[in-house]
Amino acid sequence: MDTFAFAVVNGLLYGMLLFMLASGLTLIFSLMGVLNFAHASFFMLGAYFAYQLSSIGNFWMGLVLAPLLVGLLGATVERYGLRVVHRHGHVAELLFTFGLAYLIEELVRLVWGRQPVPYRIPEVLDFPLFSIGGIDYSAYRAFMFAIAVLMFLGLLALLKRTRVGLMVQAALSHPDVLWALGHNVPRLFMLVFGGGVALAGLAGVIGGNYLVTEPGMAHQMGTILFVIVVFGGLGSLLGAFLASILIGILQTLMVAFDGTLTDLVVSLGAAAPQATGPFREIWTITPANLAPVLPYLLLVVLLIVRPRGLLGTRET
Amino acid sequence: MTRSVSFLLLGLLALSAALALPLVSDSRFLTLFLTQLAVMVTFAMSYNVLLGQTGLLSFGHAVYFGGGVFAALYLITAIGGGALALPLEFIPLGGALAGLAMAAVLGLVSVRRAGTTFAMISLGMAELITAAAMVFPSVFGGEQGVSTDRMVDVTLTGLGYGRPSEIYLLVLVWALVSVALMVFLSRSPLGRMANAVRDNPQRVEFLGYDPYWIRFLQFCIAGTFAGLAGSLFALTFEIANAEVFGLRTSANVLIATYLGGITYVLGPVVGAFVVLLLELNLARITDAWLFYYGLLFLAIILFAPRGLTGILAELPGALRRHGAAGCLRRALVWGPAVLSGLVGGVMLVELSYHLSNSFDPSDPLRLFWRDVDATNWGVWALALGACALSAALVLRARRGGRRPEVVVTPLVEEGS
Repeated sequence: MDTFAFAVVNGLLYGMLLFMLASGLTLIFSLMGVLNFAHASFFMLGAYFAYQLSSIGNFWMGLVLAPLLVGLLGATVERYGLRVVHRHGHVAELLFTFGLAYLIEELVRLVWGRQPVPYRIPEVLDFPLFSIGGIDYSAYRAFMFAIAVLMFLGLLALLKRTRVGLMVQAALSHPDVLWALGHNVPRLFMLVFGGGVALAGLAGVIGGNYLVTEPGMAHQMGTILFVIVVFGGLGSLLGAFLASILIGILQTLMVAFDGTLTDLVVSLGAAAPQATGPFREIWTITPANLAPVLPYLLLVVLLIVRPRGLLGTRET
Repeated sequence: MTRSVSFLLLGLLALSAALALPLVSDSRFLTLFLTQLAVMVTFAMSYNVLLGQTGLLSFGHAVYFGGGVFAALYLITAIGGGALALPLEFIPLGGALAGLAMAAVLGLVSVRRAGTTFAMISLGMAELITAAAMVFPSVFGGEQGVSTDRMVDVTLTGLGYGRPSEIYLLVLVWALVSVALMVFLSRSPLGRMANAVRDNPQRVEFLGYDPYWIRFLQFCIAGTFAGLAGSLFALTFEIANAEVFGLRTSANVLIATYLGGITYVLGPVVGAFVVLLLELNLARITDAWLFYYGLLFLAIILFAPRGLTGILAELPGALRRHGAAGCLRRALVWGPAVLSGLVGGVMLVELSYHLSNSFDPSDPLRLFWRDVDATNWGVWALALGACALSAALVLRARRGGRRPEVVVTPLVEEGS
């Protein structure tokens, strides 16, 4: 039972981390119509920047400066890259961010090498906060949780309570009218892109030492991220939230439990099957083996049942 | 009329060159290069059936390629073991069937939407298949993969297909047949309707066609030829593992097709040629070749959305408009800026790569035919100086003359 509780809590944390990325991605998509393929690459850059900053200063410096740097980089990319390809249509924009993801991955290999970098949890937070049934719960996880929750509250307040948030809400539905009223919509786009990417960078700062900081982390995170935004319904923040938490918890639960089809058959009282031939692994697969497949399987099933996603309102 | 005649002549010339080259020179490298080129061209052409003709951006085309690869590997083994009495020459038909079957099943779900949703679904499908293939090493061979031996007794022509030049002939014939078929299909009513679905799906629906089925048919065609290309790959290399399904293969064909130019029927041929040339030569010169490769891709998206073929095709027009002197003046203004930027950029990339990825950073690095020490600040200053010079020249050129023209054309319209 304790294992189960821990798996759920860990899954929730992983889901929160996923949503830190998915929220920025969804906001950028619903405002600009661009699905930022390089979003997870900015997450990776956040982790690497934080590693670099913490090796010359300390972790807290990285926590503040790395997201800002990533956001600045994102705004530059929007201003001098995305805005140029915008006139060629959405497919060209998607291709551009795809090329960008490719380039950032190579850049990271270029600067920091192919091996994982030793980006560690700060010593102040490296102690068990409490323990249940002999399993320790680290203080750093609680800290990550707090940061994620703070970020959502901040984002919500920004969107609902400030002038910029009001403009973003207006631009979501009627960017032309907003422009005609004399507001600088392209600058707003630049700000939102930079801001969304900075959130991904923040997730990288606190997630990089929780996971592993290595050049493959963007690809690993990125594909799950796209599953989440399509699963939740493109452009729906609430849908992205539900999908993040669902996939986070499911994936962690799958890893935590074992048992195979053979076990099932035996427990039902039949003889254990002697498997031969192709696909014989089907009898010995554990849920942990299936965990990487699960998000994609869920996506395909959902798309057959409900093509626009969980809470999607738009057709594309 | 004259255009099609010159086109035909050019094609015949290229064909005879492709046939004659391995006979004239006995280099294994050249034969292998041409074989790989034929495989890549078939694959890239099949990809362009989706991207260029139908406007469907796929991140999972490697799935159908991989299906063809594994079908062919198992078929060759079956023929070699005597379980199947099919001449080796017909293996690609098996690969094509495998690609078609997979495309027909996965396509039913994939092509409901175009645009961004389709791209994401194709990515999800590809990840699903890749992850699933890793779970079943009994079929896909796990890390070391599945291998076979193409030297079987049952052949149509009596050739043994042990020598690279023999397998090259087989691959070339199948690649030519596929390219010809795809060019024919792009000019057929279905191909034209696919263009219409790409440009304006609502209007197509008003005319009484269903965009879904047109997309589906194109998806099946693309899958079929991708499977065929996969079987040619299997015939050439005789080994593959589950990674062939992965994003790297899909990204490679996407980049090759886009570099060549997706608005031209034979653009992918140019793209495949350039990409393969880069892959084989650049990788021998520098370890950072993937970085340059990505940079080239981004530059093409930003500045030449019609690809390398587009640049070639627009060259005569530009010459006519500005005259030889005008073109020369532009080249003189922009040439030094681009050149110094390239030199400075390459130096920076190579230096930082050497610094972070070599065992001993103070080892001499071979850079522009000279040995340099990457830990010495002088080289870095030189590189940064070249970059600064380039930036200054670009600023001056922008202020002096007009900016280089950007051709504004909607490349691929988003469907609904």
